[in-house]
Amino acid sequence: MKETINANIGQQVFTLDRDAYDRLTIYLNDVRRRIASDADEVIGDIEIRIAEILRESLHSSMMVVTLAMVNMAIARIGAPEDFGSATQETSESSRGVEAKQLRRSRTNRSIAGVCGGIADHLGIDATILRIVMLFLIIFGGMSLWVYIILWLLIPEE
Amino acid sequence: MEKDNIKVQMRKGIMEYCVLAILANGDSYAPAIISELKSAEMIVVEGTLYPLLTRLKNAGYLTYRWEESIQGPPRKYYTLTEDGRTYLASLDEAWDSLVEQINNIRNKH
Repeated sequence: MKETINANIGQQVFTLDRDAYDRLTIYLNDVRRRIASDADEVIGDIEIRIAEILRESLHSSMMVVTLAMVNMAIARIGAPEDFGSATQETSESSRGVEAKQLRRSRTNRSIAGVCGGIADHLGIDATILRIVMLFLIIFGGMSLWVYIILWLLIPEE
Repeated sequence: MEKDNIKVQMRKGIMEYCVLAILANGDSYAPAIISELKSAEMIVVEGTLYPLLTRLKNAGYLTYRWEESIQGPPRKYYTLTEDGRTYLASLDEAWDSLVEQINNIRNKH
């Protein structure tokens, strides 16, 4: 026995197995992220087409849409990759990285927040960076001035 | 692999032209346009047509109307607008000159 879900696909009512419903939901969301403009309208058109394909494979309106039927419909519409890459999300996240500036950390600091700030900027653990820096200063011949110059150059948050 | 990629790019480039040319022969709806494109080996999966139709519609080259169908839900029938016809004529010209130039190059040797 399987759990089923009633769903409206392209203004038509379908009863779907839960796994079929989940698959279709993930697929439509994935495709939506890849459509550059007028995603609502395009997704609406695609839903209508999916409804048509599912209708063809159902022998009566009482039947339940299975995962196999959904997979078959998706194979005809095309994999999300066929719609191009996810434009909106990737451009936003890359913009976020660009906008992030190097600052001495106020919250993550032992002396002046230099290591904390660099670690935050690069997304690494501040403690490891501190140990490496300390190691270089004591054994590696790095001058303590390097830390002080960074202290002066990097503005505080 | 590389060769296939160039063919894919060529098809992508002229798909818009093909859709306009199909609609110049009469109004149509997505699944019928898809089957024509499929028989011309222009399209592999159906989904990519929908963003294209919406783009052409928003550019003013197409309009659509809803039409009842005997089985299933109403269908979106697309029509070429006056702008669409003018645009198609310019694409026809560009295509003809492209073919002519390619032929010239190929026949030189």
